[in-house]
Amino acid sequence: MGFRTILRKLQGDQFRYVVIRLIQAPVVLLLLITLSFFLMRFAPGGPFMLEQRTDPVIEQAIRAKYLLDKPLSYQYWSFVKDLLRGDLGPSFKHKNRTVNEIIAATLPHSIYLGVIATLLAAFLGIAAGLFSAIRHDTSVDYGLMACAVIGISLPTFVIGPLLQLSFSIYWQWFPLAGYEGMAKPSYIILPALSLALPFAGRIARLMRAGMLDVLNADFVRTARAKGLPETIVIFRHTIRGGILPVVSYLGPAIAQLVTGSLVVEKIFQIPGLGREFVEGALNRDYTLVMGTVIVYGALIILFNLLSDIMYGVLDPRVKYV
Amino acid sequence: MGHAPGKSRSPFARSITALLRNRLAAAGLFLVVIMSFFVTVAPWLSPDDPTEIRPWLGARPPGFQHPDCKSENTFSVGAQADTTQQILEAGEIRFAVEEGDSVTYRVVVRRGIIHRIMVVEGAVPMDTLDLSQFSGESYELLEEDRIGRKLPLVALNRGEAPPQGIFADGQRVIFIRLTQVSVPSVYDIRIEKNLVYSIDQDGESIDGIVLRGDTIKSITTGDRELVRFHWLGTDELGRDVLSRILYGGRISMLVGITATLVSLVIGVCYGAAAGYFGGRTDRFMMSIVDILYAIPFMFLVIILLVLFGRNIIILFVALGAVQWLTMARIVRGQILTLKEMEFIDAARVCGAQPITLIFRHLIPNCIGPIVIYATLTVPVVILEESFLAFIGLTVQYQGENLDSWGALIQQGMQALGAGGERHWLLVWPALAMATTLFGFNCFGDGLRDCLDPKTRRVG
Repeated sequence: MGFRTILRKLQGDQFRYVVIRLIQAPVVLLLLITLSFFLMRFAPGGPFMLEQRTDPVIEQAIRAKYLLDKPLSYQYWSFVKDLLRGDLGPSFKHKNRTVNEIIAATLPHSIYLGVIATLLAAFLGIAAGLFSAIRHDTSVDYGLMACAVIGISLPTFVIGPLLQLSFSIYWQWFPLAGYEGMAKPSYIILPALSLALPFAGRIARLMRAGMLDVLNADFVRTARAKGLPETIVIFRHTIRGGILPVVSYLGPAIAQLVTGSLVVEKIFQIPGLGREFVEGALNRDYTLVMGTVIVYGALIILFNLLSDIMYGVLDPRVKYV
Repeated sequence: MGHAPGKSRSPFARSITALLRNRLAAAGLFLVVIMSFFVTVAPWLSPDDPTEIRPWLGARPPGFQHPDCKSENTFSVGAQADTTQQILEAGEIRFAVEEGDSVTYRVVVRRGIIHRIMVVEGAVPMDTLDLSQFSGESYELLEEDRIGRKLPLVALNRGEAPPQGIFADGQRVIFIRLTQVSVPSVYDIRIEKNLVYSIDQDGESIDGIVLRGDTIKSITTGDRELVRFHWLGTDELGRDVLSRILYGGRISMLVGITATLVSLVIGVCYGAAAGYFGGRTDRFMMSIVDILYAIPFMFLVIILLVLFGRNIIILFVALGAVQWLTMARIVRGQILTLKEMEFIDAARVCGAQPITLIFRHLIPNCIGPIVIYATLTVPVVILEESFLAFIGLTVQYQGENLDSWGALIQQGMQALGAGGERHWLLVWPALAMATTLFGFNCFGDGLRDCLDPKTRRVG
């Protein structure tokens, strides 16, 4: 199904909703870029505050290099122009490396980790939620939901070291830390798991709530009355409605996943963008931090948009208010 | 719901009953209350000063105890004693001291001859090291201060081939730990009103002494032994883990509550203004909130902390400024319905100004949802602060690191050791954090359930 077919299928309110989201996304990105630009320029102790350099020649050279002698509007405009060309500038701390190179070298590892974690979270969460909705108000339901609450309550930076302590130090089932790419998947299991568990818990609860809503609906009663087998009722009639809360959670989930990956990459020493970002932040590598924030921001906004559009497509009742 | 028809109860009282009937929520509330109580009374409850460093102890497991004293305890006759309060109050006190000095040397061999001999502490180079001249024993020192082979007591000279038995095959560098046989002695000290009255060393009177914490083997007064007990062990610097958890929780809770208050002020004012003025103003203000919702603020907070320094005030403001969006939405929704009610018309007829209307009549009437949402915000902020502390952005106050739970977990992870032998440094802070968040989550779910009629359980 192409994008045009989707758009043609959307009518009235649904169409309006999607269009407004499509307009909002670039505005948000621009706002993020602008905010980080002005924070960088005006923060005391920031990279562009020339307090200590006394030599006027050097100062002049630096001001010229970073366009500080030009009016602010010009500085901002040239910054945005560079961004539009996809140029994030040189790194402050890594000599001879541009921010683009660093991101290109590290982002694939982060994406690999993120994809595995998302799949894991979706699988565990949807399965648990579905199961406890079907077995509503039984000990299975209570047990699964208790696990879900515990999963939500254990933030990534608590669960990661604990998984390391138990599964790689005591039982030695998995390697402690490190990264071997796709060649050795055993390295990615613990990081992905510690990233996925809080989300699995939340997805399980959303899935359960959504399924319970739908299972009580009239059309499900009709389907059962027709004598359809329970598996068909569940898989053909209810999942599409029951998964809606999960879909709307996808956008915020990606934002949290990205934030979580900062910690997981630090704990398990995965050479991803998250670790680079944290090190950059601690070393005051301004351009790198800024570039990473823009990349992450764009990713998060994109996924928010996708999840909103998906929600609009899946649920014909949605309205933009 | 089944309550007596004659007894009318407010919706608020009914939701509180419903909340307490929800067992999970009640358990959550219990956990939250217990944890908040513990961290609030930390200064009285805490068995130790969390900043008291005892490097000679190192990381010790839970249940470890040692003589209770400072790193350096100074006594001189006629002067004030510099030591712990307990010792000062004891009056007559006996210290059993064993001074076993140990020195570590580093010896490097190059091309079959001894190239360098050095005392590690202070990096003093020397020409000869005669192990036999000390009345002690020498061992090879391995990584992480572990003791290795026992070494023969021989002499090493710079520029000569090393004697047999010191270097293993192919070994180029060796660390030698030399321990002198210790000389036990007993000090009897009398203290009256913080002044040292007399000091006896093994029965002979002396004028003054500095007793180092690492040499004191026992401290007794009468037949009572003064020990410090570490329920949850100590960390690498010998600080008491339980006290650090209690004080760390204080910082976590302080950040959580203060940032929530900041978010409350911003969110309530913004939401109330949008709801009260309504119409185009409302639409404009709320679309700003919509747009801000989509911004990943955690990254901006990180930038902010990197640029402005990790000052605790900046953290309060930054985290509070991130959290106000939902509060603004909730307040606005409440105000929108409230302002159509008759009592507002009545107030307006009486000549109330918009400011009075908002702050005297509208906001007090939506205090319930505000309080409930504020309760839900606290754990979120605690989580965010701990996340920042974990990645290394520990908050500081006047240049001092304030170790919250996130920082403790991070340090525990670093200090775990290859075989996880110092697990208590990670497990206990993690447990404290998880328990608190679990409590907040359960309680928050219950609150949300009884606030929102749509999600009220049917079955």
